[in-house]
Amino acid sequence: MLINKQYFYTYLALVQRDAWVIRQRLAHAIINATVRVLVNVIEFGGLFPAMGVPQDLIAPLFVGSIAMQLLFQGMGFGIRTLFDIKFERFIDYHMTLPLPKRWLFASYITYFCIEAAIVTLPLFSIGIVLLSDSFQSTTPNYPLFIIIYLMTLVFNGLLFLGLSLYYQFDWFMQNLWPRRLTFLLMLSPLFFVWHKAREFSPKAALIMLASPLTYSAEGLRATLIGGSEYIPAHLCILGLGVAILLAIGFTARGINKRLDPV
Amino acid sequence: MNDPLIQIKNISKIYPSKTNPVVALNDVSMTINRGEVFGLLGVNGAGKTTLSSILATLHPPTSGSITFNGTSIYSDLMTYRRSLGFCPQTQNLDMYLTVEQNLLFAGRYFLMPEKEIIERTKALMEELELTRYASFEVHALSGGNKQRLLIARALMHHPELVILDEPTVGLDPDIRKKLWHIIRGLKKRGVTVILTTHYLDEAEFLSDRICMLHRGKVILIESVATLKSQHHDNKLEDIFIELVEDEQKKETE
Repeated sequence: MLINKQYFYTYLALVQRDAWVIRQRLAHAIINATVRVLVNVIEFGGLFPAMGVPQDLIAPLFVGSIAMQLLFQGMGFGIRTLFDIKFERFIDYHMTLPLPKRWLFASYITYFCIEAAIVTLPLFSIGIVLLSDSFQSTTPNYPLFIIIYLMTLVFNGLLFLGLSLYYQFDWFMQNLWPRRLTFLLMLSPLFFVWHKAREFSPKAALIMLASPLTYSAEGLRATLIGGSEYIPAHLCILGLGVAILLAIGFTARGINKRLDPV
Repeated sequence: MNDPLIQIKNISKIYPSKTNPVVALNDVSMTINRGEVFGLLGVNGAGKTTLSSILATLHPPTSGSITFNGTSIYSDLMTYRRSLGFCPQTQNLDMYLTVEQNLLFAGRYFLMPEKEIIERTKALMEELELTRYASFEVHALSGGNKQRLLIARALMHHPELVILDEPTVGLDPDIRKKLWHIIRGLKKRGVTVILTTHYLDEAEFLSDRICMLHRGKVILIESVATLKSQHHDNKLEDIFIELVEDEQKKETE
């Protein structure tokens, strides 16, 4: 049997606990999501066109901003994990449960995915409805969108879990943003379209292909907006797949380095 | 009649470092018998917490073997973990849950039937005087009650072996005494207890046998009664100081 039933049920119990915690914070999550939707809609639907941003750029910029929101969610998840490792050590209790490491950390990633989905799905759904003028001529591919969205969630969860395990508390808090995330953010086409960047600087566009956020942003655009303006969805799936594999390796290294587990 | 539950053979733990690797445990061997309270004693840095973390399967040893009921704990790790309850030094309770929920979820993680989880939660809360705090969130509890909850969580799945790492550190004397009675109660139930402490009165009151660790090495394993008779009924504290001083002399010679 591929999946051990006992491990699966223990994993489910951990997810059930996480769902309970998320439910407790649901009121805050709804308020946060509402604020984000409203601010984004006002900015992308009102301010940007008023400043002369062409109408056909509003939709890709809006979708790119959601990819960035996911990164911020990941940062929050990373900081929480970091605090636990440094101060609370609840992770030690988890490490003594009758559950292999891969299942345990899969439950951590699941937690992040559920939490991040609660924040970002209203942005996608309500935001797109409110910005319907900018999304009129789109040809969405929802099955591919779900795949890319889930892969983006998993990648961000793995990345920030790995970072929180790999780096010491002080280093993470002081240096992670300027020395690591700045590159990841700035070398990704979150606030412009990758093909446009290639027209101006093929070299810069080539470098951007090394950033997983490129595949997140472009993949979400390709599947939600459609057309040939973006990196094709299947290439984004491939890019995100490679990024997830690398993130798994990085997180596994972080686990061994920081936790020295059995 | 001694009935070995855990056998530790030649365990070493070295924390690697480019400049100065730390030898936390050096060729440690011992046997822990079923149903006994086994006290691990030592000054700070002796290796007590490292040994209890290894026994709790938080970290692997660098070398050596550990068997549980005659089988290596690493050959069937999950079965061993199901037989183990661990109270670490840090009160690492689930801060997002209430007292009762901490226990309910602990039962679920160990796949206990739901009916049994509810009954066991109720029974443990009563036994450890936590019933009135059932709906309290963990952060609202006093240090003593957090410690009780930690012990209750470790006992939730009926473990055969419980590891208590410095369970009474920083607690008021009256709460310490109450916890001592709880630990004695575990022994009466047939639970094997490994008690890590640097309070010698605690070790003397609770332990059947004690193991003294010094700089990662075992310097003595003996029953409290034998040790006291060998040392003219001195207090364990005096015996401990004598032994540590002997070790320090040996090191300087």
